Amino acid sequence: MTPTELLPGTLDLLILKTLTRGPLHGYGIALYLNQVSEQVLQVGEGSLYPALQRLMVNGWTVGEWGQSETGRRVRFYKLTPAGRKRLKEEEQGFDRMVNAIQVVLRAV
Amino acid sequence: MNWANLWNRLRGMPRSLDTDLDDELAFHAEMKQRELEHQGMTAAEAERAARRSLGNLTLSREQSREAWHFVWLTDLWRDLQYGARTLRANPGFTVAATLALALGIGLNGILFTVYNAMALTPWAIRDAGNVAQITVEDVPGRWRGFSWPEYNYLREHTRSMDSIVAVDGAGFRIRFGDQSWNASTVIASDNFFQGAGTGFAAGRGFSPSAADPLNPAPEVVLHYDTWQNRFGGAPDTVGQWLEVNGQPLQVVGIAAEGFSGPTATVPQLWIPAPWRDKLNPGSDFYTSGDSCCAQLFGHLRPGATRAESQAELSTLSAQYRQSQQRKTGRLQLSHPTLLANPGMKFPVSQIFLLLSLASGLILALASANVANLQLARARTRRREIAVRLSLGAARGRILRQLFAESLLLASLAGLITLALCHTVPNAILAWMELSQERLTVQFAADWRVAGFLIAMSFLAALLFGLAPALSAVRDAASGGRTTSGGGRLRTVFLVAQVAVCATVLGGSALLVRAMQQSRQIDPGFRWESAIVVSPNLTSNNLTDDQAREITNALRDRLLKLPGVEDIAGATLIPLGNSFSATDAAGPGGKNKVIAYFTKVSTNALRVLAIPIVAGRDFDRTDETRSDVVIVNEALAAQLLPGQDAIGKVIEAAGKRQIVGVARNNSIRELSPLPQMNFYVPSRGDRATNLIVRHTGAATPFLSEIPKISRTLDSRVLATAIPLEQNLRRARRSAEIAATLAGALSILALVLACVGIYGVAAYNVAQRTREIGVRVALGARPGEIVGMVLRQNLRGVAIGGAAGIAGALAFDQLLHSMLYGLSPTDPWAILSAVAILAGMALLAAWPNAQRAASVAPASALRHD
Repeated sequence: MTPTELLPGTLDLLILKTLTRGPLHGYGIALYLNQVSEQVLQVGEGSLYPALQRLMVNGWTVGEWGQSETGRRVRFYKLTPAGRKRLKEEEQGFDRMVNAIQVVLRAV
Repeated sequence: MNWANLWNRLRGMPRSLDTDLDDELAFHAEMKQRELEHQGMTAAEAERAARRSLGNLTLSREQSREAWHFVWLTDLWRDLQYGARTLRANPGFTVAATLALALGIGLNGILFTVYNAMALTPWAIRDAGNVAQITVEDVPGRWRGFSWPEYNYLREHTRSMDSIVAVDGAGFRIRFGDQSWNASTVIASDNFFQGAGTGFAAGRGFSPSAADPLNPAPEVVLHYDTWQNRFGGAPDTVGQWLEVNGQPLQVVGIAAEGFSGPTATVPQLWIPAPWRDKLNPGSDFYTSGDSCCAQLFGHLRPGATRAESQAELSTLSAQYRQSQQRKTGRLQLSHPTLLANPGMKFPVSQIFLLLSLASGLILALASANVANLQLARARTRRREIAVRLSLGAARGRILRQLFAESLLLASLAGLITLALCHTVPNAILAWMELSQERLTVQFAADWRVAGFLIAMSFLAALLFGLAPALSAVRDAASGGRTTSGGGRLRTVFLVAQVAVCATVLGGSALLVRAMQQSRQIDPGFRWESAIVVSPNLTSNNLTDDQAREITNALRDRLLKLPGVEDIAGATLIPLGNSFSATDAAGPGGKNKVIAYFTKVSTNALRVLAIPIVAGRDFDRTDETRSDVVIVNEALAAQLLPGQDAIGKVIEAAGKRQIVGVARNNSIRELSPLPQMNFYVPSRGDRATNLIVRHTGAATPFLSEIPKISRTLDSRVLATAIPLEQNLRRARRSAEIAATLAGALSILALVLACVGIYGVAAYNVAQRTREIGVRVALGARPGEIVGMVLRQNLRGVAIGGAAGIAGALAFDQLLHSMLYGLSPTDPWAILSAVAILAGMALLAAWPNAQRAASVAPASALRHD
């Protein structure tokens, strides 16, 4: 299967969801999304980091510096309570949208 | 953007944002590279592929950074900095524009400060948001308070209000130790202090028995300032007994510092309401349903709305009034501010509306003037703007930059105004000394005033900044080939403005002269070396005979003082703000008129040095006669036109024969108008004051006389003031009017100057090329200066002529209002014209100079 472009606006949702498993660094997030979606969802690194910054600005995640497996200084992103709330909202919004799209697809 | 978001940005924004990101991205690349190597790529290939997968690193970094930064904010900051530099580089323009704007915004701001204090700031009492004033409209258009019995009925039956409080004003004579003074007093219901929710510096409020109509508790509560000023802040003041109108009352409390209650003026003390009648024997305010004007307020019960409470109180009031066979009125609740009271609201709002229209107009004028200045500058800045446009700046960006400059100017003016608003109204009030009583309202620049000023400054910036900025950008974009057709409009505007300015200037010059005249009015009596002694016997429940005895004894005692020449008795204190008036009519009841009259001792006209122009003065034998009168010239001319007045019998407080005619004077009030007066002889009564003619300084007498009077009879609480003080106060109002008129004309002048300067500057900027050509063709600097001045002063001349016509019309109006003014003063108008012409020249001159220094070469370069 060839990698699919992400639906616009879903990257935040996917990152937040990923972080519910625990703190992860940027590379870890990209790797996880890639594996879990069975290589379908290819996250462009170019858009990943701006998105991570955006989530921090909004207070949905916080960054903590730690050591990577290779000994480099690396930032681990952690979900905040506000982030969990946001995730719930985004999930519901996404469900609604998907349902709506399916209704339209079936109707025609 | 919300505040949490802003906080996250400020908190999260790392100083080492770029290094952090670089670290992260480098780590990512490294991991990616490993992954690819794992899949079998060579190290070099893997590195390249990893970099490729990360895409444009710089862009990614930029976008990441953008999440943190407020681009528009930094842009605005840069615009403001640039604007500040431009303004600093043009100090003349900056000062002129700021001054004009500060005047325009300041006038509005000061007006709003006053309105804010009177209409928007609630009384300083507990939980003012839930307080309602209660008023009733008995006769359409006339709002009043309530009678005390009705108040008690409402208070007893209301369910919608916690407790209703009533207050009313009164004046009492207080005596404590060897001090004695007239005190403005608030008489209040017993629950006043609970209702107002004030604490006490010492003691407590009224006890419930203070409401007992027959036997009220003898209690007073002092205002904090009274405690300080009259009792020296003595700690044992609570518990002391005062004499109030001769009755002993005990100080039970001192209100907390700064507490003045809901009244317009600051009271010296509070007294339980039933005492009003006890202290003024014969009056029945507390028990009569006819009495009026207790001011009511109360706190709404939790859950009760204003509408419900108003409905309930209306019903209660109607019930009460029906049980008393009285007409019901329309009851209304209003907010607890000075102006919310419907009785005050309408007339005062009208005044405010009128004033705010006028000051709004002045702001518009000021803004238009500054807009003109901006336009003139925009012409000279066209090249700068064109360059920036061609370098790729967006029009919106340049517009924003020009507007930021305007905003900066307006903010500068607004800041100056804020300081003005905080100080000027109080200073004017203090300077006017309108009354001896202090007002409770405080004129302060609070958050409402600050908000108003910000809004006004922004509005002004829009008014004067937007149009010039738009036209500047349009102009520059079209290479300056479009000629904005505003030239004629600008000239018309200038002419109108100069006309208005000349009218104001000429009018106020006339007003100042008129006021000077009334300042110089000879009061018509000798005011130097005279002291008015008021025994203040009217409040003591004495008969006229008893009072006469006391007053005569005091007179005889004072006559023995060294330095006292003579003492007269008179019911009217010259220029003392009180008077008696009655009908007077000529023989057969003809030519009836209202005239002021004074009951005087037979030597009074001599003591006051009021000359007799015909007939004779009173003598000793007239003292007991009630059939003689001395009229003044004005009354004689009114009652007996063209006749000899002496010996005629007229109607003046009874049938009386005129024995003498006195020179006109200003005993009643200082005014150029003749006042009709007559004098009747009297042996003295309760209302008699003594006028002491003395030699030497007045000061020793002023302190000595009250002491002497008290040793003579403990009931006499005499006050002594120099007559000169009354004259000074009377002249003060003329001074105030003249000064305000002067201030107004200076304001108009400044605005007109900025206007003239702006138009002249624009004209010169527009004609730079033409002037350059003329200079190249050999025009001398003097010719250029003359040309520029001629062009600009033509408008000034036309406007000035129209303005003089306006001033003359105003003069006619002034004369119709104040007859007795000397004929139109040509010097007043001429000086106004001279000032205006001089200022116009001054305003146009720098521009003419600039024109004369135009180098011919600049004509070629000028686009």
